[in-house]
Amino acid sequence: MMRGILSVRELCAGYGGADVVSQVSFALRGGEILCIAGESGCGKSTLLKALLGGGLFGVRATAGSVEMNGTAALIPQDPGASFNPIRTFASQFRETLASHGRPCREAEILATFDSLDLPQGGKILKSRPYEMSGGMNQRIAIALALLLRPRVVLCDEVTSALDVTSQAAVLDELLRLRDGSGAALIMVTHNLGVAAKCADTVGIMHSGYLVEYGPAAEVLRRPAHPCTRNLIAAIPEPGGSFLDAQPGGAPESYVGRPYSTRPVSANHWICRTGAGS
Amino acid sequence: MKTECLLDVRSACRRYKNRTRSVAALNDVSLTLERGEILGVVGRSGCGKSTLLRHIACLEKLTSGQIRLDGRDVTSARPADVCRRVQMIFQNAAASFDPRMTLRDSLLETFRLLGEGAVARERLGALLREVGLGEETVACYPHQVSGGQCQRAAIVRALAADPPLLLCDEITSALDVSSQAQIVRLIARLRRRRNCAVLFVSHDLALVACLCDRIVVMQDGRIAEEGTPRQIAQSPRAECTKKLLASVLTLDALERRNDKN
Repeated sequence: MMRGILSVRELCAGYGGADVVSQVSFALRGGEILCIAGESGCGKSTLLKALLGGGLFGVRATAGSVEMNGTAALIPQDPGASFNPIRTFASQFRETLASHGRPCREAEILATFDSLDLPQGGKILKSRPYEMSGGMNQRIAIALALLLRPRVVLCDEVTSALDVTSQAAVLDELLRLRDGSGAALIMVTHNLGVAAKCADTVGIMHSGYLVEYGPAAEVLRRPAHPCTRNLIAAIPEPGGSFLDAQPGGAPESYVGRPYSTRPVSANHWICRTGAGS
Repeated sequence: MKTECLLDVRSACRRYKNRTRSVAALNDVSLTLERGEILGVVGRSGCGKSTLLRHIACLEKLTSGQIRLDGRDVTSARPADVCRRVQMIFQNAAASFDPRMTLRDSLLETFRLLGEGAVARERLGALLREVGLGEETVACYPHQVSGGQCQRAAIVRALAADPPLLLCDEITSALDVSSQAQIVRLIARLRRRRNCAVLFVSHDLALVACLCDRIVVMQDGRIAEEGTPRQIAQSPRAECTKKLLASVLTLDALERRNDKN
């Protein structure tokens, strides 16, 4: 029986039968924020799409299981591209909410806009995506996801396209969302600075495998896997040393091999020990 | 030591107008760049960073002000007039290549357009080695290579003209952090080897501080602050600089969270 809100066991998934995600296991409690980090192409976004199920975006699970209590909502990386560019937000909100069997109440939408620091909500609803900045489009996508009342929010590089100040504001809003709704968040990012700000738990992916997983402070301050160390080395610091990430990421010998030297406890490797089931 | 001024932007103003309003994208911007210097330009989206670069590359014309490149007034010059002295590298490298041509064919075309078709293969081979790209990589189409590889190919294209000034417009924003680190190190290496000046635009103050000799911070089309990376990081004066610094996400965010709790 599942104790948490989401349990993923030995999940393999990919496109057209070719696995991009291999043997990924983890579990999530309500209100927990899991940051999944890794280089481009490591399978982070494919994992999120696999969690949505139903073959969405052409991603299908080929082995393993995903158990979820409640529904999930995905906030995409580029909301400007995920919204229809020639339709108003009002019509897109109406359609999306109706297709999920949710009522479309303007007062509720405007209150959600307010909570996300989107003033003049009525004007926004009459606007189209191209009339908004990247940060505003991202907030509107978050608002739409919240209105679906998900138990798990899947955030796919939601701050990558934003400038640093908009990024900080959107992350603050996601933290407020977690505090207010108790939803669990899975945030995919290639920036471990994002994980340091938000995450309770951090997972590092490489070549489709979850190679390191544990509490944020432990993974980020005492990284055990070369991929994690490489990602940490690549975070620029103002006035700090020059970026010293190794070209090509982790050594070839580590590619795709789980790295489980951490002591196993209730919080570490939660699925590997069976604690999530 | 005597320094040599390569770029001199004086009181640059640019207004965009439509029927209902007029916006000052550049408002009395003045800056200079020495040969071999890396100058960082930082600021929020929409502050005028990219507009400034587009005017220096002569892709647009200023409303008022002057741009001098290598001692010559290029304010009214066409892009073709300055292409051997200034080259621009764009944020979305894949979109800057023809999707129907291999990277190799696109790069060879650049040499032909520069009138160096006869030595194109030889020069391309040397530049590929300089930026660490393999022949097999440039045999691919833009969509078949990673963002970092495509950006290296864009750097090769910019270096084909051997310009003394490179304009880098958010060239790492679309890359993951380790590809970003590699590209930034490549830019630093190119400056050392070629003594070319670089105008490096980014919204990430931490990244710019790692690479640049000097930094200007822009806000609403104006230069809000200028200084060395150390001055900017340790004693910022402008409010927008303080905000940019506060928004930088490093692992110290972990400790700040613990302090709050």
